[in-house]
Amino acid sequence: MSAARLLVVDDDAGLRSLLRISLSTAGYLVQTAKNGLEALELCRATTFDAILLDLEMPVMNGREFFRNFRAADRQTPVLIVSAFGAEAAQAELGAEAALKKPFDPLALPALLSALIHVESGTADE
Amino acid sequence: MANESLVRGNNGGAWEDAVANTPAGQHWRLRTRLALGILLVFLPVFLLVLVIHLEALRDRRDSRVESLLTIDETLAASIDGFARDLETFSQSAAITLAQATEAGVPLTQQSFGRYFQELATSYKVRSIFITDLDGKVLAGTAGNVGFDVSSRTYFKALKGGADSTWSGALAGQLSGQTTLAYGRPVRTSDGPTVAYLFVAFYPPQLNDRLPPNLPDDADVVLIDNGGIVLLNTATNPDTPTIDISDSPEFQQASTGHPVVLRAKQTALNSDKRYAAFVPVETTSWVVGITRPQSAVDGPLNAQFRRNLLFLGTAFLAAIATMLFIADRVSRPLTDLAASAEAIARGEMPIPARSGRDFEIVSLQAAMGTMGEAIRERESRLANQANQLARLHASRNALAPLLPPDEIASIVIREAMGALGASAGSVLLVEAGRPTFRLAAHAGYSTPVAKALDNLLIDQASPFADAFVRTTPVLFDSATQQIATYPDQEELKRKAATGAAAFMPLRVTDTTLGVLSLGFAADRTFLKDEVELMFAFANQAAQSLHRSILYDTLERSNRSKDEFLAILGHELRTPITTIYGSTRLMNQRGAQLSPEEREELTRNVEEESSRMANLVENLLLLARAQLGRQPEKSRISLEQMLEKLCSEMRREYPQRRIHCSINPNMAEVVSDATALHQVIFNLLTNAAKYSPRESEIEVTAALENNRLEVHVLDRGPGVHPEELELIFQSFYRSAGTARTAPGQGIGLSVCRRLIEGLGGSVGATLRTGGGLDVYFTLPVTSELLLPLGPAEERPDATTAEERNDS
Repeated sequence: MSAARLLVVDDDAGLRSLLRISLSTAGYLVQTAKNGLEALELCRATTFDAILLDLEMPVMNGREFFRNFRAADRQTPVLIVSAFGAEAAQAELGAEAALKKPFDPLALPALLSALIHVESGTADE
Repeated sequence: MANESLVRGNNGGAWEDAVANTPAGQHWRLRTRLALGILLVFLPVFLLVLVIHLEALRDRRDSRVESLLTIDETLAASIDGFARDLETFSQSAAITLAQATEAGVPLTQQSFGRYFQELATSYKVRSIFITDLDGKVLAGTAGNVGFDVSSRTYFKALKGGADSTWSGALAGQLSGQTTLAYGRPVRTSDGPTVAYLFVAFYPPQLNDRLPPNLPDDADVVLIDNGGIVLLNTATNPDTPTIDISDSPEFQQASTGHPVVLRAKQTALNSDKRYAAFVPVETTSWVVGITRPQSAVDGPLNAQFRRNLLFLGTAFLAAIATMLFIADRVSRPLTDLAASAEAIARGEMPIPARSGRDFEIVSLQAAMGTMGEAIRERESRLANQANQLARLHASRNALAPLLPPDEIASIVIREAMGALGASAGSVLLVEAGRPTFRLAAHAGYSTPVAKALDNLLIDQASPFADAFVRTTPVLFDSATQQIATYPDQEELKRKAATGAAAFMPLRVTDTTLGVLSLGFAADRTFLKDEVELMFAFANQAAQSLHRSILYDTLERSNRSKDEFLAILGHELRTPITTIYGSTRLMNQRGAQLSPEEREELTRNVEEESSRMANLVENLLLLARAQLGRQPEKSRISLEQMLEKLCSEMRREYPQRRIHCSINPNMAEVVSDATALHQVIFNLLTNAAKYSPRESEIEVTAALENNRLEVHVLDRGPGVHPEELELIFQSFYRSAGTARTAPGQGIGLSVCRRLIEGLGGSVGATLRTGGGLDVYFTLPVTSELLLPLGPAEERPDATTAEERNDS
């Protein structure tokens, strides 16, 4: 089983950097986008195993991206990562998981592998 | 009321009372009372006049009697004079005779007949004669020489030794007529009596002596000392003599006292007479004058009857007149009484104004005027009640906490209703706004409303004057207002109002704005109305003040929430990065490459710096929003800008940052921390949202005490409709070029800080691309600081002092 591919969408450079480094250290292949529009571009080229999505972003925010993305891809799990109202947005949008900032980057791989495993398992069946 | 019905019940004559209480019944009762009163006044007067007349009658009668007595006394004196004359010439004749005898002249008719004749003619007597000592006539005028008079009483008296004698009434020796005689002896110088001289005369001779003022109807009587009537003008001289010696009037008069008779029967006349009887001193006779009672009393009584008739007529006429007046007066008086009672009951009668020619009518008219005055007063009271009700309604409507504009609407509506105004407005002063803000209006067209909303606070207008002077500004007419503010003639004409009032909305030491009321026509404001407008303005001011206080409180509450939200939202991202990076380095340090480690370290540094700036912004924001007064100090803007620019150059080494400052700029007075933060935020924003190699320009200029600072970049700018929105909290442009991350609070903090200092912020798109973000700030003048107390306005203070003095 090859390494899982992740997409990190966040307008904050520091956070992108942190997630990229911590998740690649954990063995993931990580790509990043500054906003929803960039993320949609990347999704068109690559199929990701999971997406970490911020809500408040310029150009195209997390909600808009999610709706656009879900219209094309109904399987890839999306993890909402936000400082404010992450769980509410998860419920509202029907996303697979939510994570509230600040979070422990070391706990993230476990959460992601569970998410990917459940999703792929479901897909396998 | 209760008493009245009780009395009526006791009387048992409810119907009669009802009649008596009707105006007509009262009228009759009043007329009777008036008539009786008039009679009571007139009767004594009449009696008094009557008594006076009776007195006068008696006086007149007395004076008649008095005059009779006087005439009689004159007559008596005259007769007395006659007697004395007679005595005197008799004496001189006796002396002459005595001397003649002594000279030897014989006492004969031959010797003295002629002498006696001359004497008799000269003294107008009947006869003069002498006798010898035996009573034989020696010589005389009557041709009686040789007669023997020795039997006569007068001769006997002389013979008896008397010095002289006056006879009573005698029957003439020859004529038989009643005669009077005077006699005296003729004595020679040595003593012996040689003869007796006698003078005789007829009483009618005394008629010559009657006084000229003797009334025609008066009768004169002469009575001798024996009570024999010598002369009576009422009777024929030939009538036989009467003896009245028994009558009381003669007896009293003969004692020497005058007697007056009033309407008495005398011994002389058959009818009742007024009479006076006076004694004659020399001869002891009595002279009487009598007048018939009818002759004296008749004219007097006739006059009295005439007077009485006149008096009676006058009295009756007066009573009739008074009764007439009583009738005329009682009717309007009754009406008046009814009116007064009606007024007392609170009704409003209109007394009939029938045209009667009495002064009472003018009183009645006055009563009518009074009634009208009361009616007018009542309507004014009703009007005041309405005004009070409006004031109450307004107060009740304003009781709950309402937004300022709603308060303004309510006050305008109620004040217009209470004062009959045709239009009204409330202009408020707000922080950082050079013009008034039209909170609400009624009765004005849209262009007028717009003009009011743009009225400058420091430009002459009734609003500005009312606001600055904090006193009402009143105009009786549009002409008057235009004359005072000629620049605003067009606005006043468009407003289409006449009289207008501008009341400051003032709470203790703060003036919030102005309430204006416009009236359809010209008019003069009454004191009450001005007070009422004051009341409305005060009410509005209180409510607005409350509302604004609440608003401020709420805003600060909201900003607290906002502050917490920003903390929650915006601090979490940098904290996540800092916390995550440090944790990663500590726990997975061995797995990280040196480059990754370096990246994480740089992340921590950048996020920490970002967070520090964020905290600074948040603290300033909190301070501004909690209504803290800015801490002002002298700032050298040049130094501040230089420092900021060099900081930016250090932060962004590739940047070209151009700083241009108006060279003549001196130090300014403002809040240094806020100003620094604002410019820093603007520069950071420009650096974040524009290409790295593009130029950032900063300009600062000071003009008319206003500092204007621009920060210009060559970034992608924003959509034109976003120029306002970028100053809102958390707003981030959706423009594609906005690539940098941000909290969306930098510009909103700038706006709040600048507005807190009384300035304003704005943004425009530059020609040739890029954004121009700027702010203007009053730096040395506090004129536009909002809601300042009047004392801090030098010109307002003078105006107020002028007003007070």
